[in-house]
Amino acid sequence: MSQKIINPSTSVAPAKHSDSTGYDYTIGPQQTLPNAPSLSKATTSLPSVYNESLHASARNPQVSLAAYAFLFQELVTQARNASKSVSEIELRLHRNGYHLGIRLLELLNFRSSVSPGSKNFFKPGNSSQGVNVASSAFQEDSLAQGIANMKRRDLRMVEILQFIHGTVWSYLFGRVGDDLVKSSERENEFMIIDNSPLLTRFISSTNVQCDFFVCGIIEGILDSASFPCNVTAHSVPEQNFDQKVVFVVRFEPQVLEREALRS
Amino acid sequence: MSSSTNNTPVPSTSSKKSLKVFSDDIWKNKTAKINAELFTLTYGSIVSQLCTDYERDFAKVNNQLYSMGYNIGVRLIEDFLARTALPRCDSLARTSEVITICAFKVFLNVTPQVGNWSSNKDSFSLFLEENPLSEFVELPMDAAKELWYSNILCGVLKGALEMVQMDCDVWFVNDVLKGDQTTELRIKLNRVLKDEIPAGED
Repeated sequence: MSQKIINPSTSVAPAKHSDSTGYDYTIGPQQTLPNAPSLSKATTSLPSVYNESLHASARNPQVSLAAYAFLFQELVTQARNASKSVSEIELRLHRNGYHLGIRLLELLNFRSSVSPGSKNFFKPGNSSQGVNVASSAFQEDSLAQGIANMKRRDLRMVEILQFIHGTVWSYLFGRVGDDLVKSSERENEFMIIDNSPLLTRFISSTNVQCDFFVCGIIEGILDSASFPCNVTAHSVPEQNFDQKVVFVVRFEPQVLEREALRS
Repeated sequence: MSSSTNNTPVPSTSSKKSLKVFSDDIWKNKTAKINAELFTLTYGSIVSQLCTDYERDFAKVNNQLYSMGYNIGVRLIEDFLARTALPRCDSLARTSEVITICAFKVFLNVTPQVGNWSSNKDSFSLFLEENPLSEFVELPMDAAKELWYSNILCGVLKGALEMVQMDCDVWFVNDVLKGDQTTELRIKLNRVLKDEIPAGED
């Protein structure tokens, strides 16, 4: 070190400041740059989830439906083996889905803010290393822009339900939901309709409603968006769609109260 | 029989290439697909549920994942053979190609690398550069020591291979989630089971 450090007159030996990254009272405040060599070496040598891009085009987009069906079937089996009653199975599936929902809200909002018009925003992870380094400055620029243009949070019941019916459904199942209906009887009740649910396509039994997994996803999203509610699935077979499912969303009274204040 | 020499267990590159073209075609044109992230997240919720159910006894979680995989494997092979109509493999090297180039591609849309053949050619490793099961995943400190997060894959391979009369041991050697450089899965062939008529049938 070129700087001469004046130690306070204590008996404590000064810490070796070259390795230390924390605050050292014998030296006082130090400048630590985020790209200091010792730090960046530690973060780049380990493959870390935080270094990966969240942009949709950077990821492996699809797996086979068969693989998913096998996994989902094991999920249901696991729920069945651990439960004593049908409602308990459904509750467990619901809880499993809930964990997905709370993660999806933020991810999908982020993506819908950055995706349009910025094709080369975040290079795909598998592109050559050199390109990534060269364009990193450009990427930082567009990231800053993306945050500035971030999509506004959905504040109304209808908006957030449209988000689920549209964005979430096409993300999860590759198409938008078949209908979004407001109940004529109850103010707080909405219905999302799916004529041919993808996840339970290969499940014929009707005594356990496996679509409760999707209910969990919906409830997770709505809960983390501050729309506390209760979501249930009801199978309503029709002539052309014998697996048709209606997801009933019942908002808590305070959501309606808030909605009334805002209008 | 292929004319390959003994020290290169991989038969001919042309058969490998045609297998790749064949598998890519199945993936592209004949496979119904679903969002891989939904798959990842669903698996994540299964594992975390198991960790809670078994009160973070990760040895039990590993076993449970393995047996779930086994259940999948014994049924998945049927689906695989129906889709691909591939004939019986004439060597373990061929098996390794079918697993990596075809099976992993058709189901998970990834292609692991084969390597680390043992000297008597009865075991090999799969190196998973991409693993759709463990995207987004960071293991907590206590789990990183014991949990094999993707252990379900071992079970799947075990179950599927057993159904084509190959008695194998399948286990994880390394996992990037535990801080290793690679994700390595080991397959060891114990013996080829004989086709036996099930008891009670003549």
